Amino acid sequence: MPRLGYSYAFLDPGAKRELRRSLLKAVALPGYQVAYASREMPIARGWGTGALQVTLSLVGPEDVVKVIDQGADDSVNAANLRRFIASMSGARTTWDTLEATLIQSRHRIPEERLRPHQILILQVPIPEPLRHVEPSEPRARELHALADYSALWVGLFEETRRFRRSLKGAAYPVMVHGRYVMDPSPIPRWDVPKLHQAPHLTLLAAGREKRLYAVPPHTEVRPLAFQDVPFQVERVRARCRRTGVGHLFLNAIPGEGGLEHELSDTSVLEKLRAGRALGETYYDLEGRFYRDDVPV
Amino acid sequence: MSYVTARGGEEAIRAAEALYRSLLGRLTPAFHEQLEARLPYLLDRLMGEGGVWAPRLAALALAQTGGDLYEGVLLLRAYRTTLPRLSPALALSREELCLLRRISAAFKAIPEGQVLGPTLDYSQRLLRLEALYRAEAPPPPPEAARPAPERYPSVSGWLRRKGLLQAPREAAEGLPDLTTEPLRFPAPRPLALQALARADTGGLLALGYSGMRAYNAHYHPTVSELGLGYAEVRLPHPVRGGAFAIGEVRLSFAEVVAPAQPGEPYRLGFAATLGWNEVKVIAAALLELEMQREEPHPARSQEFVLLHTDPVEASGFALHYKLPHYVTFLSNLLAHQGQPEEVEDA
Amino acid sequence: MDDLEVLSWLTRAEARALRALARRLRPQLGAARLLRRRVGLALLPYQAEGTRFVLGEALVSEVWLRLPRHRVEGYGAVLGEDLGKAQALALLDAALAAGVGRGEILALAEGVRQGWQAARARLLRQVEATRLEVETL
Repeated sequence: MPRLGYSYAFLDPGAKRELRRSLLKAVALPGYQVAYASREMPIARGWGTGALQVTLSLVGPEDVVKVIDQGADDSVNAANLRRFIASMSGARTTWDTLEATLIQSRHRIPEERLRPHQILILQVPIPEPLRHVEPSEPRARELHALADYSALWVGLFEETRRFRRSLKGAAYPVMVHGRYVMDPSPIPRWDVPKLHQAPHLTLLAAGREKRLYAVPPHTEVRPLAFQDVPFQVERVRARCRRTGVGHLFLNAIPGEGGLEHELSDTSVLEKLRAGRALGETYYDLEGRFYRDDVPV
Repeated sequence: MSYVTARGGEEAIRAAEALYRSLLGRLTPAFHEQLEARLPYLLDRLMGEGGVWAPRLAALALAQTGGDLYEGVLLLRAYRTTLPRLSPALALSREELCLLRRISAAFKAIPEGQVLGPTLDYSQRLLRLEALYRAEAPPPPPEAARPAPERYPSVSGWLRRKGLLQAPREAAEGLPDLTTEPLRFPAPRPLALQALARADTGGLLALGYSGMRAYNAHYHPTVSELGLGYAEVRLPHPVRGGAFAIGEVRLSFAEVVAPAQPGEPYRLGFAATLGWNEVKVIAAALLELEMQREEPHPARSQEFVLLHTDPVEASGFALHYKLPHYVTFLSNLLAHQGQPEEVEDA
Repeated sequence: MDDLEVLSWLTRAEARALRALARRLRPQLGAARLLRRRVGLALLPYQAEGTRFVLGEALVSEVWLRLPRHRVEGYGAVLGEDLGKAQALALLDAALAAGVGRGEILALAEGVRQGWQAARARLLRQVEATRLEVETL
């Protein structure tokens, strides 16, 4: 049962309508940052309030909601958000990626492949991929309008010349449908290829910065890279200390004898530990990506 | 190891909140009443930054957070998003304020004079240590034979009639509202004034002070008028037509003037906020004045000031750094350090 | 004092006094049907320097009701979260419209006005004592 005394799913109908309209605009213009009013939520600003507003504007009583933080369902902030969404909407919650209809995530895309009926909502701290080369918002907006991304290309070129690679780890900039450069949120590079031609809808929301953007299903999403220095994902040569799996994204954990590792994705970790079958994953047991038109 | 222990679910969250609340003790209506009566300047700061006049709720917010101002402002802002909008009140106007304090630094004699009102300005800031041991009632303030006027003519209006001040800038149509639309730049003046009214006192002070002290201190602006007072809130009566008063709010405003070009009239910077908060409106009015310049110092540009002084956004983002970042940290580490032992060549 | 002025003074009355008077008049008013009873926000526009902008919002309790017996409606609103006070005010507003208890309501408003004005005048005399006397040459 949703909580009494508040609007269904907390947001009042006016706020929901504005959010949904902005989301439609975002879907119609893949990668374009739509400005919206962004209400204050009863959790700290900058802790996922944007994605929370999107989740609450989409959730219905039939939905199944999964919330993860850095891949983990049991992370404290994820637990807090999940508790809030459930109490305000009456929706069921889950840790299982395959069972969820709405997945709110901070900085990870699940390892199991998302399907067309699922919506991924990513929390975004800094939506503007040009921010570090152009701190002024009006000027950055102008550069997007002109599709002038030369400052990013020059930066990438300089890094490549000096270090033979990009120094960008998480939040690697991507070109969406050949038009807008987009910050995919601070997901690791490991997750970036999952956005390309994905069958599911990804919504990205920055509450503090008041911007929404989207990657609709079957959209071209290409990391910025030069032909002769291809984009690379992180490759950790370790195995999960609990499951022995080595082909998925692992967290490093300081242990007795140096670094130990553990699966970042709790849905996968729980399934493997319980001996349950995994869904199809983006990377196979040899670490090969499921599509061959994407450099990893 | 901290990341490992930071995981761990709903029981820990509940226990942490329970511990926090138990250390603060009971919330009682009597305590909230006391806060409201005895700490009005603290409440005013909270309500000004929260952008909502609600003294009892502000007192509750303070009590509930043990006096953590940023948490308190967040509580007020989060609560206000759940409330419906009623009819707007009639516009409060400068001419109709009942001022208790009204001073000008520009002229010794201004129409209707300088009235200090309740202030510590010229007092000696000594702790009243005797009150540590026994109650101390304030002495009754002296009373003049006749009451002060409730309303004062605006000093800027007077300066304009003397040709000393530029005409007010063109007013925008309609009433844009930051709580229903995002701030885009260049922001129209009403949105900038609203953002300043809700801004963090400390943030405005730091940026304003940087301009006063050194950067861009090419001239010395003057406070032409500073006012603290009451504004009567009037709502339309939906049955009878007309409007009626439903109570009063405290508010403060400041106007500062500075020379433009030699021989030209002065320019004016303005700010107002809910509650009595002098340092905030003076800093904000100075920043408003600076923002109008062709090329303000970066820390006085509209975008820089308004985007970085929202108390809820700034504090929320600063605090988010304590959230787990282990995926991003590892990803950035691998990108930066290249190929440590754990990483195989791709 | 016109009726809107009466209401303006009544909003400054003690909630207890308003509720007591509303209760006394209740038998003559008959049943009331609530049309609206809610706490919300009133936008506070501020007009200065040729600009109108949103200074903030005020928390307001409002009640709108109808008295079927007298075929009149009443409206009450007060700053703050006291819906009981707003409802008493709405009943008194409806009573004024229905011509019920007019004398008593006016007397209450007049009492509030006198008390409030006396307190404000005293405060302003104290404020006047802080005036900086400057010589004008």
